[in-house]
Amino acid sequence: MENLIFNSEKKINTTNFVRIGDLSYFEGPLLSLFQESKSGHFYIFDWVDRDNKFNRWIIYRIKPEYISKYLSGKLSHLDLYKNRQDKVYFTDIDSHHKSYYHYDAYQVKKLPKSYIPNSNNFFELLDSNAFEKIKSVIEDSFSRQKLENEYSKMFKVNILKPEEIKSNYYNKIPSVLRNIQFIYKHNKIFYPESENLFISNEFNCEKFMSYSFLEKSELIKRNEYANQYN
Amino acid sequence: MIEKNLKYKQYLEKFSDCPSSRFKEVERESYRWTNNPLSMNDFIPLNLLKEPPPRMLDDFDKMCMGYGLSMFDSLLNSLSRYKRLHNELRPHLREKFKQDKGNYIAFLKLEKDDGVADMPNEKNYGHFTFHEFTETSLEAKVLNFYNIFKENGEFNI
Repeated sequence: MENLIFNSEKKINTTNFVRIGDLSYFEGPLLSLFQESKSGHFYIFDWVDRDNKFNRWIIYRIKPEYISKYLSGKLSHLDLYKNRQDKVYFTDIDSHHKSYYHYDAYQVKKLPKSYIPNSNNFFELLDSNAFEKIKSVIEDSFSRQKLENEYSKMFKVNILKPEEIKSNYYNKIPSVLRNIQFIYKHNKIFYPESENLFISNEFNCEKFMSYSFLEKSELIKRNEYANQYN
Repeated sequence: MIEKNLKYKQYLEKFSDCPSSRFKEVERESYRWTNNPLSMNDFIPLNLLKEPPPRMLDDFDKMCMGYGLSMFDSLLNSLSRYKRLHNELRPHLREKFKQDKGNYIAFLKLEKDDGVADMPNEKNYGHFTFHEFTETSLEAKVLNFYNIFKENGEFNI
């Protein structure tokens, strides 16, 4: 097997990975699709090497639209790899045949040329043992994405995945709803033009402010009003 | 009367329906990828091979058919499937594939006392899975070998 240069401190956690099905299979998986259950992200396990003790897989994240294009024959295996997101990881699975999540997967620093997929390999229906399931999971992912996009367009709210939320205050739906109530109560002070706040398309998440900030602004305005004759 | 027990019964029993009722005793010409001369692994089911380890990601891959033998219903189908799979692999894996599967196609005539098989899958190059009975020795039933590659390394097709 190739000697890989990898970062032993950078691992990917595969415990939440759910195996959807194999895009290519012959006497065992060759190219397998997984979904990370928390984020909904898709990952490919791509068989790249073996010796007498181990099978080696590279793991990379891929957007559902590219999987869909691969399934319809518009992208080759190489294109799929080139359109991956983030880094490439690898895992060596030995002959004890424990499940993939029992083995560490490390970030590869440089992928050997021999591990790059062939450019003339395209999806073949007969090689896949779970085509319908894969197709339906990808379609579900598109519908969910569409719903989220429509929602964010309507309310101009960025819908973030749980792990993307950095602040507790912005963009988290319960906080947003609390703020809506507050702004609505005070809209005459701060947003006199948005009487119809709940049906207005102009409703903008960026205008959400923390309670203390609004309180402070109100105080400043009052002071300005009181000081105008000084 | 000879009692017909399947080889590797201890493994097959772990599955609820293995091999399934679709598997019947057959009289069929069959073709299997092997070495010439035969190696120890040529008629060992994939899931029982220690070296190289079979490709498995989780328990789903420890399926019943992994304890059977892959065969094809015609020489052409067998050769075509080999060629396609070989060409799909990355170049360095092609050599390993040849080591694992061999460079030859062994021709056998399966008889009813040899074991059970499912129907050849027309959509998959006439592939079928064969489960041997305990008394069967498929090595002794090989009638001929066909070379998959020409002398110049090209496919013999």
